[in-house]
Amino acid sequence: MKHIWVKLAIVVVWSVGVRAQTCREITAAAELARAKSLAALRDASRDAGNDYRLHLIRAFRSFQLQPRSKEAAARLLSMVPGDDAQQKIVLTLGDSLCDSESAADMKALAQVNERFARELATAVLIVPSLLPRYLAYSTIAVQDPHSDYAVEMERVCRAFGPMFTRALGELPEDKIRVFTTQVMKADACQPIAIPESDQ
Amino acid sequence: MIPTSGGNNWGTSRLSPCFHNAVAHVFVWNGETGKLADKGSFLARTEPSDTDRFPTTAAGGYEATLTQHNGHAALRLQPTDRIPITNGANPAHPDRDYATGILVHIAGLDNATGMTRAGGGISEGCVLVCRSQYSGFLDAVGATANPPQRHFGVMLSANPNMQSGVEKEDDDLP
Repeated sequence: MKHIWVKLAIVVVWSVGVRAQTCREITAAAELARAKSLAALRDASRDAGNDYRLHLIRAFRSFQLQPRSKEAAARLLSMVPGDDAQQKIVLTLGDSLCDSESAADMKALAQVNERFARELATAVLIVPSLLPRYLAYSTIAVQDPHSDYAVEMERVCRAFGPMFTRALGELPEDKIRVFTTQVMKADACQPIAIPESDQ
Repeated sequence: MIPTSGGNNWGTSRLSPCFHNAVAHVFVWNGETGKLADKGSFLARTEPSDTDRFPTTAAGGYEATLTQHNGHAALRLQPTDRIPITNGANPAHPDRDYATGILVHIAGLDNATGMTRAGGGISEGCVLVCRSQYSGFLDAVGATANPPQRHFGVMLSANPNMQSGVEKEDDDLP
């Protein structure tokens, strides 16, 4: 039993050091998420930095502020996680990410995570050419038991009809298999991956 | 034997019985002393709403981070992209032998732990803390502090005296 405590303590101490480096970026990310206008978003972007999290939140907020913009929609869809590291960033947006992060910053970033699937669904309806990319990410997104990606995808499936099925058919075979068994019954636009909820 | 260290909160409840099969011990990393402080033990359920459809998180020690779940404070077990499970393969994602995004969070309304009307689960792998213990859990994680950052450890212990799904919280008062 004792070795488990020692291991746990080592892991926690190590992670404290790693997280301290990211605090400024987290504050900047929360400012982007809270921007009330495109001008405020531009201002907040000026000194924000250049990592994936910041680009993602900038694109997300920009689309929220101009939900009919094809350019903003395409930019958001271009930010869907491309690897495990990026997916982990999306997954943990609402976590306490650094020592001085305020509760308000945590909440602002949590809302990005909570609304990510909805905004992506809205975005792809505006930019159908990015449907394959949107579909491909679904197999990653639903690995989080809290993800409402498949539920939000239902309206995309119904809106696009045969085009949705055709785009699905363009995915690699293994992705199609995962999609049809773990994400959605595409012929009926019926989500398989339903998120956890309280009731 | 249910552990009694830290700030136990085995309080009685008017809620429906809490179907638990484990204890979640919560620890906080104290930067000043360099030690893990025991913050309490909470009745929990590691079994998901449907064991045929969802993974069961393995007992053991985890690093954890503060997060939110449906507006409630929760702890995210780490590494969040690779949580060990007791199943050979993850029932929700059979190509994987681990789970992702596992939290320790409050049980469903009225201590519900089963499937929802929408077709999902109250738990699809997450560890549920009994509702009557949640205020103690909040105190333990320091969720009301600002800034709320804490560095947590969670030790999940499956308790041999707990028969999953048959005991009330009150039955386990030490």
